[in-house]
Amino acid sequence: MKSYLLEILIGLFFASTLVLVSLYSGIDAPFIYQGF
Amino acid sequence: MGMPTELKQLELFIEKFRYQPSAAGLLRIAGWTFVFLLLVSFTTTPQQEVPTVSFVTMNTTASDLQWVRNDLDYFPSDNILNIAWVSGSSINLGYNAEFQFLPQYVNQLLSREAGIASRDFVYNLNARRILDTYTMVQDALLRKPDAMVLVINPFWVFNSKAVFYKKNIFNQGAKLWWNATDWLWQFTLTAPANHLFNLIGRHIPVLAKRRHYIKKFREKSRALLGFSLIPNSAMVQGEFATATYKLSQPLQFWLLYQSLGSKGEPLITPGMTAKTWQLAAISLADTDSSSWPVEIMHKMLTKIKHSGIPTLLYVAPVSPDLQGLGARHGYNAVLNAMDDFKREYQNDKLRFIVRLPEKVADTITFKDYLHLKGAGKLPAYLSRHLSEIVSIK
Repeated sequence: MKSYLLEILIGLFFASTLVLVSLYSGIDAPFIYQGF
Repeated sequence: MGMPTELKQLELFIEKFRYQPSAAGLLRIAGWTFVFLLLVSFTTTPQQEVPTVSFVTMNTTASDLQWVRNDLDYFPSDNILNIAWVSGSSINLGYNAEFQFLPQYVNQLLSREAGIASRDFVYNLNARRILDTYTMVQDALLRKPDAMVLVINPFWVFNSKAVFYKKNIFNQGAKLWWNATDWLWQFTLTAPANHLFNLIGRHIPVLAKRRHYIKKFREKSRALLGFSLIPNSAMVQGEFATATYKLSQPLQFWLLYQSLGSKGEPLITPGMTAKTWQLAAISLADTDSSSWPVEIMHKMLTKIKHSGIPTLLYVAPVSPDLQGLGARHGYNAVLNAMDDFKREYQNDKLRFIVRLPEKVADTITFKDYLHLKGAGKLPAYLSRHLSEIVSIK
């Protein structure tokens, strides 16, 4: 039971990290989307 | 657990969370990661936005893991002609010019002379190699533009070195090279992060459509907490424009590491100017039929031809000052190779301009051997050819 719960938490941690890294890497991008 | 005596009490706490996954456990962790990514993705529905301006850059920033904007899957389908430009610094007309970039000038001429309203989606990368060009062309073709302009830089096009320096267009390669002709490159030219964020990530909305999620998370966190969890860009728009058009990862590599010579000798030496650099670059052009650049050019032109998308391919004009120099031999070899490609691939929809007519070339002025000071009759010439090929049914 403990291992199953830990697996869920680790999966949540990995997903959060991926989302944060991906979103933060695109922060400067918004100016681009407006074109010039 | 072997912790120091002072931290032995911590062992009792850590022991509760100690976990050694089995192979099945690792698969479950991967599965849960995927599930949570999808759950976050479902918190909002990405909408495709239509650009409100006519000059839209497709590449984002050097810090961007995905490099190319991902809020557009397809170019908008309305009455405006969507033209993809794959180009480099040869389209720069200068910040003080009436138009900063050649596509904007061509855009106005298309509207005024041919009555064609158009919108340019520009993939701009300085000092790009043929592999960079091929990758950007593949990205453009995937989005189905109404037309494409492909600018060939004669100084770099047949350079057989590809630069994997920091993040660059090859981030997108994991997604774009998953096809019958390029799949082997997945094992040599891509990094695990590229597979994660591009090959797999393109199917996970929160990773594929970041702009939309950034906006939504900002709005929601402001509504709930009073402040945004995702900070705004630290750049102001003017800085960003400059930063983007200085985005030249391949170029930065040469500047920093100064090692281009085929015998390992530095190509770039102190005091070198753009002109001497350009001469040195063209000396490395490899137009042999068995070379990698030639092979990639064949792949690229085959894909363009099969797509049926009207494409104007032109070799960027060079200064007449190049005449009489030793590099002229290398330049002529590039033009001859492009003539061969023209003979093999040109058709109604894929038009090559390898050499400009004299009455056009003579009106162009240059800052060095390649970069434009005055575009002369070049925009009108390109606009006429473009309007012809898009009119062909």
